[in-house]
Amino acid sequence: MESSVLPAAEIVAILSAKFICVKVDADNPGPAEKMLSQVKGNTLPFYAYATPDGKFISGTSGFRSEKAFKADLEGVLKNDALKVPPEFDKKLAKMAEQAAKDFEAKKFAAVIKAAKDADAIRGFSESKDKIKELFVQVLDGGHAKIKEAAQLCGEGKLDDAAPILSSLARDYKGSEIEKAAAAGTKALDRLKSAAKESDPKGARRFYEMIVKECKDAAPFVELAESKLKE
Amino acid sequence: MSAALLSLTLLLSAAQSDKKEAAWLTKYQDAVQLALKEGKPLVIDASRVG
Repeated sequence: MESSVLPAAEIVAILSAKFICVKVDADNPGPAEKMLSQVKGNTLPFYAYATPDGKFISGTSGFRSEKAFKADLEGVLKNDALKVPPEFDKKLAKMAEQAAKDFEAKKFAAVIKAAKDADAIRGFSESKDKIKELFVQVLDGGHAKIKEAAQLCGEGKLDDAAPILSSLARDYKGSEIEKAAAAGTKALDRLKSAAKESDPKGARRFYEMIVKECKDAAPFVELAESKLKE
Repeated sequence: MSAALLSLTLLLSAAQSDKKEAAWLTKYQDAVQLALKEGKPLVIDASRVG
């Protein structure tokens, strides 16, 4: 399991996104013993699955192939105890529908808010996953625009980068993109100051400030680092 | 959130961002606490150590 099943990409993706994972010593399981005692069978390894509040769901004993382990994990996620309650699921379905419309209309701040609201509702649901997918797409789009703004700066088109950054700060409120846009705007100011410097040493000082102060806008930090190497 | 839980969460996020393998905690009580906080189910792997 350790060398072939657990490192498999699909298994890693499910475990990382959906589970909290813990390894215990089968000979000395400590407080996990109560949970493991409910697993049927005698062959190691044991895998026990429990709800977030510690109720036993199911378990397996012995080696599981990648296919079997994946099916185990997916089966656990379908357990009724982990699902969003029906009344909230209806609410999430409406939220997902609205988020899709907001995404199409480029109302990204609304999608970000929907993702945060959905995340506050405990349990798994398809609607919640749909909202999350939209949220990821929104963030990817935002990061791409930050990169575009930094590229423009790299080409010396500083004035063209400014409106991109200000629209990002407005449209992506409440997300990491808002922070990145603020850091990008700060970096842009430093780049403008550097451009005014006739002394290369003076310009370097501004690039160093970007590296130090604008970590939330990675493409700008990369740009400043490349300028420092010139 | 307690400082210990915060550092645990950060540790877990850093490990997850790597994506090479899932983050496996080694303390059962930490895992129980985190599962409750994040609303995620627990998977407990019991193997022989060594």
